[in-house]
Amino acid sequence: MNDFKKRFSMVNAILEALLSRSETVAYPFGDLHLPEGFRGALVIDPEKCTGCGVCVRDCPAGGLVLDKKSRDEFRLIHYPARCAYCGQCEVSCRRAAISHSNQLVSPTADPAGSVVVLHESQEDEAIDG
Amino acid sequence: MVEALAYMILFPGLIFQVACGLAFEWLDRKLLARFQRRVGPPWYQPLADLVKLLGKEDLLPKGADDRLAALLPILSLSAVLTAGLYIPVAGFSPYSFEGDLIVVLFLMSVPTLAYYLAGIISIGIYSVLGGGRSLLQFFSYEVPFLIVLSGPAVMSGSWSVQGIMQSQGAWGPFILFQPLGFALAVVGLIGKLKRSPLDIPKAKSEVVAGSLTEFSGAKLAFWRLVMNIQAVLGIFLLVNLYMGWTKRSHPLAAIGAFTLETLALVAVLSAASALFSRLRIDQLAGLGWKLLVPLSLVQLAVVIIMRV
Repeated sequence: MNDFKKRFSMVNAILEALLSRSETVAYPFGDLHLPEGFRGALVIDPEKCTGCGVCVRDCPAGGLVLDKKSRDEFRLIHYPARCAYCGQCEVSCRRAAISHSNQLVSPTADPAGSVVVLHESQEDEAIDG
Repeated sequence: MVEALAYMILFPGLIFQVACGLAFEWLDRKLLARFQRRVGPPWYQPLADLVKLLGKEDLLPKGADDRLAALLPILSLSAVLTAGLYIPVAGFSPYSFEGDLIVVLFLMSVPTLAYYLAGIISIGIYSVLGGGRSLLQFFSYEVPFLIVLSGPAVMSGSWSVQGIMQSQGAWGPFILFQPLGFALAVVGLIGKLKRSPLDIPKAKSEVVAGSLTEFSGAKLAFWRLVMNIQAVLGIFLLVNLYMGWTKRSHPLAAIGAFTLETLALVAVLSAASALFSRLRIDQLAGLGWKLLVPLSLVQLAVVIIMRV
């Protein structure tokens, strides 16, 4: 009898689910709202980044590369196809310059084409500095 | 000649059945998704899946019999398409004859046997396990299914699906007289279609995809088509045997009622797969022989007594 009651509550549950709003979205046709704290695309605060390279050193997937010419002249490059979105760079950065946004990164068939230059020091700034 | 070709290719043959099969798959997936609070696929998803599969590379393990593996899905597809010619759609059946119920049931069993063979020949541990399971399951559900489907035949005194459907004009729909029989037939149909909760031969978490684990490309596409058309035909068969109406004077009323009854049965099947968890093979064998067979015999006995 108890089992029957349980079964009946299951019937109620699926009928309720049928009539209620769905929890998923019809991506890519509908709007996608990712929750806060979702580890999506990498963003950098250029004011804060000093080019110390700790994020590059700590990245377990080799997804970040620092192209450094001098103390003030450097580029930080992100390879989304290599990135594991683990969040280690965010943890490692001492100045909180690098972080994950909650924006989805589209999948790609061309890993080389998806490379993002996160930070590129301006030549003027470099000279001024 | 032209008429026969139209029956075979257009309606109720190939094109109609494929369209119904794809529509069934979408409706089933959509309903299951809604029961689980998901959005579910768009309406063209089954067609997109079919086209994608047809375009994919066709691989089989080394040592598997390639020719037989190609033949089995085609054989199954032709068997179910042939069965479809004898099952009336909204009262229309071009080739109905006395005894076609038996032919239909035989033809609808061909895919199960081909499924078993497909598992054995495609040489993979999951395939062989899945194939063996499918045969064990076949012996568990098929006997009560056949006994219970002879109920409407005995009650109407005809062994043609069309005849059984038409005789319900005098009796009233057989679901009212044989509710137990209808329930057993639905359980048997779920077993025949290897749908959850009786998806033992293709249990994802145990045997990957059962017999079809090693199949890919066009062969897998054909297998999926076979499963979908078999589901549609099984539902059509139950609708005809248990919910037939001949008093509908207008053909539009007949089509409307047939569609509604079919959709209701699809909803029942989807709800069953959302509600119940998968049985083990020994549980199914126990259920089949200790519960379903005695109950189907009781139902048949009741029918025979009603006839006398």
